[in-house]
Amino acid sequence: MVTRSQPHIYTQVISCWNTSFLSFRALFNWLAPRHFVLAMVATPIMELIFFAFLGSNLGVEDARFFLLGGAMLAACTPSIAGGVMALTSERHFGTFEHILVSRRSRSYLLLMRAVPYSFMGIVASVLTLAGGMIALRVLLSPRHLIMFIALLFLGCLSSAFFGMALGVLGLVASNVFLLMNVAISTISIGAALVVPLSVLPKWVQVTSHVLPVRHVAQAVREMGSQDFKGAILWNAGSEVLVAAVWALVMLASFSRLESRMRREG
Amino acid sequence: MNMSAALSGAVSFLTATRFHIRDLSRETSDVALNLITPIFYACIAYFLHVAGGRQQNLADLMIGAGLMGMWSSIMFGAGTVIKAQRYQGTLEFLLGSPKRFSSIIIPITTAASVFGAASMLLTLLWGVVVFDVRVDLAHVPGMTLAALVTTLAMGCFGLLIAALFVQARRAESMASPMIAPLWMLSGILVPVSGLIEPLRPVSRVLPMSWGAEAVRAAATGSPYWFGLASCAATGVVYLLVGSWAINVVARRSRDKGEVNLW
Repeated sequence: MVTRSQPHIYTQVISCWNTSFLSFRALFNWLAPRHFVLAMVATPIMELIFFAFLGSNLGVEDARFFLLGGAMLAACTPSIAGGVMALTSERHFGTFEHILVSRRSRSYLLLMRAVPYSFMGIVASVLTLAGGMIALRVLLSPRHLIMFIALLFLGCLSSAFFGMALGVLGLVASNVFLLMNVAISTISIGAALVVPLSVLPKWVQVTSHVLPVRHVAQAVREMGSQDFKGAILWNAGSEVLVAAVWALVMLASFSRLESRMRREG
Repeated sequence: MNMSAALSGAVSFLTATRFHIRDLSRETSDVALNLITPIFYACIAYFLHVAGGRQQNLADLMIGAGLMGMWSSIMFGAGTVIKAQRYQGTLEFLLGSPKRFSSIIIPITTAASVFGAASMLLTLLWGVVVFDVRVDLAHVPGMTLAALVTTLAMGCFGLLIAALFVQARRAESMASPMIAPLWMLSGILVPVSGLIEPLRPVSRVLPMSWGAEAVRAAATGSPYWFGLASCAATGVVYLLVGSWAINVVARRSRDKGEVNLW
């Protein structure tokens, strides 16, 4: 009998990174940059200008609030959509079985898949932020910009894991894209991206702690304030926890689904 | 045109519109998204209204949020009309039909507009039930009339959008960034007077800005006939321009053998 030992962790991680990057290129339907720019950059720029315009007319917050919120929302959309498509598109293109027969660790394979989508979220967000800064004539200092990107990467990771958890649901349920759109809209309100957190009902404020980007948004809003360092540590830690919870939910539900598929054929 | 021909045309239009409403309703997730999205707009408008010290009329904001949904329905529904027919494999039959191409497309864009009207109604109901918006029942007939005229005018506007997006393979990507500027220009949540001076005349050529004014005025019992008439008039202009544009595009494509590029 021939036995094959599991590859070293390092080899697994590198290999999973390579496959996740290749799958990202193959599955994410934004191969033409023009379409990506129209849907993932131009649209959020226009929306943040609209919300800033609405906010200024209703006397709510300032342009910086809507600029940062709009840029964070721009990061959420490709991260969540990518997370969903990382699984549902595999099935759509008939390559999902290849994952199931792979002897790679599911944990590495799935966790790594979130990374390219998170980077895509960052790219969309930075481009949106640049466009928004020009349109709204609001400038962020380089220090705040770097902090924003670093914090946002955590938010993008939790969004991608959240999207992948939805993607697992999409393997057994129809209309997952409807659910995805509802989730993104819920995050825009619940994570206080386009409305101030203080006006949300108490139950929304409490339940929104499980939403991706919620804590990052809170940390970003604190940028430049006196107790920013404390807020950044607390909120970054909370966002990492949220990302970990969604990753666990995704892995557990995928594992359960896989065993059911193998059991029931 | 005699009376019976006009009546026959109207019956044909209504039958085709009903058919396309049923056709569009088959995709339940699209219908649900059309109806649910404006509710989120309404929630955002409400929370911003609260944060801003409740200075604006909440009913106006709910109507505006519903009209945001109508814009989305029109831009995606009319923008992707050619793509949808191509996807269903019915585009060639429609192009080969002896009727004018515009008279085939207008019921589809009107059907998309009807979904927008439904989302406006649902958003207003959401506002009444959840946010305690007060609507005087005596003003409901006026609001219904204004909403009906706006729906028809936006259906006509959709014809022009369909003509503009004829050869766009990714019409959704093109329509998507245009929606928020149209929300601003048509003054549906913030009055046109809030726009910078050079942009104000642009809003006057959009049927939605007149329609929004008419619906808002009807909701408060103010005179709305001027807004309603202007909405209808701009709708007629878009019907003529849109029909001409889409017929020209269809004829040129047939002549040059470019229908396969649609």
